[in-house]
Amino acid sequence: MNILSYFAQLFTLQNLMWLCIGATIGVVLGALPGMSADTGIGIFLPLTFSLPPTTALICLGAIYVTGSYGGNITAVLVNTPGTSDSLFMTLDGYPMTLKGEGLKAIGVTTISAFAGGMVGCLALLFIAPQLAKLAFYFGAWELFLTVMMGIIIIISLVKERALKGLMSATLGFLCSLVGLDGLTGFSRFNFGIMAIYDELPLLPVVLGMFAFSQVFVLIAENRKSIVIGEESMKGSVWLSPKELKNILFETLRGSVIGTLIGIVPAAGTTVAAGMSYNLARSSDKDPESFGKGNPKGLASVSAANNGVVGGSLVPLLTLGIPGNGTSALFMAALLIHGLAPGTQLFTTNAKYVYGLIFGLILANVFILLFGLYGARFYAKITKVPSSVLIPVITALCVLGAFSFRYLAFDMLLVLIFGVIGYFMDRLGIPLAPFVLAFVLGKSAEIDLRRALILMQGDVASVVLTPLSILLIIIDVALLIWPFWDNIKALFKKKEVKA
Amino acid sequence: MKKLAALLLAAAMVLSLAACGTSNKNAGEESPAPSASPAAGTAESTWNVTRPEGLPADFPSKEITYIYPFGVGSMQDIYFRILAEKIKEKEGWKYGFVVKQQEGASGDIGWTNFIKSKPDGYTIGFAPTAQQITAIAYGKNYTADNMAYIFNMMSDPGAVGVSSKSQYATLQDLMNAAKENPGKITIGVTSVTGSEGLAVLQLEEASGAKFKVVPYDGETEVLTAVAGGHCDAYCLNVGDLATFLSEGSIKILAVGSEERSELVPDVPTYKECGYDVIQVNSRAIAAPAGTDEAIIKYLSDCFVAAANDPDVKAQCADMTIPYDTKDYKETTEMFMGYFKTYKDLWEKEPWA
Amino acid sequence: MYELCRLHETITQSYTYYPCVLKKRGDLALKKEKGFNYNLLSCIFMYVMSGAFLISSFTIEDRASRTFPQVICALCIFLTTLFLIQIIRGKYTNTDINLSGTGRAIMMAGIILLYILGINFTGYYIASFIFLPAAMLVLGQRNWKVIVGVDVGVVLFIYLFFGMLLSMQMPEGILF
Repeated sequence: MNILSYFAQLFTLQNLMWLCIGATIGVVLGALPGMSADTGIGIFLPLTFSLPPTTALICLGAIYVTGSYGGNITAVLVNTPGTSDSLFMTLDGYPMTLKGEGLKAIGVTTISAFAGGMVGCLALLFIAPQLAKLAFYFGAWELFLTVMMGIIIIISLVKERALKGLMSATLGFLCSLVGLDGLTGFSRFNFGIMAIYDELPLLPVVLGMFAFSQVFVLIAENRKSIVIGEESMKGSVWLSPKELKNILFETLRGSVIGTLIGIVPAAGTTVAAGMSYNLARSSDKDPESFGKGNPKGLASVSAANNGVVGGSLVPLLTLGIPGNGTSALFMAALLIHGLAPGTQLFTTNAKYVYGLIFGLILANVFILLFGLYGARFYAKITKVPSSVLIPVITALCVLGAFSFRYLAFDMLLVLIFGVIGYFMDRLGIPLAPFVLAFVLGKSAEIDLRRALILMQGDVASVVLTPLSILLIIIDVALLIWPFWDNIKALFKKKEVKA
Repeated sequence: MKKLAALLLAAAMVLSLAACGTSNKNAGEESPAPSASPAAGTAESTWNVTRPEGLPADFPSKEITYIYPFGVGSMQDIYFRILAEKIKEKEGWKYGFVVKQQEGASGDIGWTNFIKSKPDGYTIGFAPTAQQITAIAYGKNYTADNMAYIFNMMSDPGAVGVSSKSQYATLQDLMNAAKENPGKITIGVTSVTGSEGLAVLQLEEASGAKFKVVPYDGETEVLTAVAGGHCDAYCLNVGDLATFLSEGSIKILAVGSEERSELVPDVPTYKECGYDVIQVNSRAIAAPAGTDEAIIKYLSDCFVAAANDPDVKAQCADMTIPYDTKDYKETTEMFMGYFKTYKDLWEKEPWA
Repeated sequence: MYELCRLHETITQSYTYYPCVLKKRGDLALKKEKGFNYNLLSCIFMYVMSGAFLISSFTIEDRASRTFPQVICALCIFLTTLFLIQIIRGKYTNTDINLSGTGRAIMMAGIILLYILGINFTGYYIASFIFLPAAMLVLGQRNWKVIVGVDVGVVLFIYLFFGMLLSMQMPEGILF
């Protein structure tokens, strides 16, 4: 009974108003290249100081939810992902737009994002405390094995263009190593440039490689606008029951993957999206269709992406351990309003946290509203002439790159990687492995080395935990699965011979 | 068209709210803090800052930039913003403080810019003890003797502890174990070359113990590892421990300040345990050297008054900030002390 | 002596042409184009990158810190060499490479570079105000109303939304 009363508090004018504001800001910022939920929350944090706790949390939560969705639209329509996770949406979403199914693509991504977000929030609502304990089981070795999952995904992603893909991945690894060595405090590979002393900043690099390079591709192809022809916007954003059934399984699976990965402190949206996409592809009867406009691929990624929102808040609210960078900002929001994460949050201060959770659920509904009703409006972007679209995207990308660390150098970085990305794209070198390797490389190295240091104390206690054994099994399974057909064929041959 | 109208309406709402949003007080909702906080009617003002002689009459005639070379959301970031708001309000300034974030190179980029700026009183910066550690190790020029300190916000004492399920009950137990098993007892820190790593080094010297230092990416990571049994001990700051302490997953063995900390009065200091080591993370605000002393004194008085203001105290009540309000003279003395200590340590045993 | 090679672009349903040199007219039957194999560009780039990283890695004193990067560099060089061998063997040709229009792209990159440098002088708003119409003109937009409208509209939007509403820190220049 209590929980329902917390739901009612959502419907005060002030709370609803700030929910709307947060949701709108989130979608807009998420759609803009280079900016994401992080930017929005970071900016709004000081603005919410003077608000009552529930209202502030609801507002920031709404930004988080819709901010994770905003990038989907531009990724799908314009091939300019707002963040590193939306890049997986370009793989299947953009081809759909090119085929004239832009509205349908928006419909797919909207519904699956909604589903993903809901699953994450429901997990938060019902089983948060139990799930949260998971985080404690992850020591350095376990974290390393989890990151390996992401790396194995890279390997299976490049099955067709193996050599070029692996080259791309190693390049990504190298770039991820630039910066401070977490264990020794020594800065590596900065070639004398102070701005990359800490690290090669994730956002400008990814933004450059994907969004900015797209600008160059548009210029080179000399296309008048993204989609040519009136019948490009055929169909509608509302999916038929058959289409819904088609993407149902991938959506649900993606949601669960997103939520679980959100809980694990090491992995973030990129790993969740990548894993979901890969699983969807390898388990499908027609893997070749992925990458050419298969709605299943789009659905699996969108669901995972928004599932992370709820998932990442689970360890944060219950244990004070952020599941990713964005939820870490939430920690600050909680602290200002005098709310300490932990069991106290769910007992004496329950009304605030349940206000937040219900706010998140309501914000998910906003995704549906924005997506389904606004689709025709957004889709018009694809008709805007390139001569206008390109300069505007450029100006926004440059601003977005700056807004990450407020360093002028990052603007130059986004241009450099834009050019590199352009050439990689044209020379047939796949970009996705680079990004995955870039995101995961540093974590993989640090966790492995940290695990090795801990092992010097006592090898057995580090390696022989039940969780790590489970993870090794998962890793091996993920490694073998894409090649299962090949292996089966090998055995068949042997049988015939015998 | 309808969508556009709705969007415009939302925009209008947002604009109007932003204009009056900052003056929204906690109307109609009780504060979650167990301590009573006088939210309404804080009329009794103890604010009595007088503008000193020699201060330009129109100061500040434009915004004062505060260079903060780290990310948004930390305790000191929030605290500063609260203080800044209060000063602007009480002194009736037309222009207030503006926080300029310039991340990169663990603060070097921001601090280098800070030390280069004009000492006209319109640029100040975040000056923690970590800044001195970096400056000494890498020969930078933002050393304590090259700045004018204004105000100290907080001093976070170091803390050494273990998981609540651990066998070690006192600091001596832990140190002895490390002495008998050199290199086998793991201790987690966030930075080998930072104040925590240095403290471990000093503790090792004072006791003859030898730990296996394991660096993690952040305080939460260290505590998660310790609570989960992956790491034997931690060396962090008291301010980092609040959440995990209240959950009961860790315990503190000793703190690094001169006197016991108010936040954890039952915990002995390193000195009390027999190890003559001080580990304190002070966070201050400073201006480039050469700034007019009248300006320094004025700002110092403003910050001190803001820190003691009942409204501010109420707002910060549950953030577990280890206050250590000091005016410019006391702050300068304290930091020159730290500077000397670290310089001496560097001569004896360079840590980087 | 020049034969035009044709590449069918599935996306835009158009054809793009680029010149390629044939050794002898007789080779037409083999349909093998010999030109600079652009895949070599990838090779050169990869070698340079891994080389630079490898050389830089020797300045790292800590052995544990050095090992992983060196392994990756070695792997990179190994893979690139494999790639090189495959290219020579003829497995990778220019058929799935399309570098048409690169000239225009590079030119635009140059303009954007000037824009970014300009931001450091005049600040974001002014630089963008100049860049937007310049870029639109270069890209072929001739409708004055559109140019002015977009220029003013976008800069105004950014100013109101980011500068005023969100009070975000904007890139500053020396002058502004």
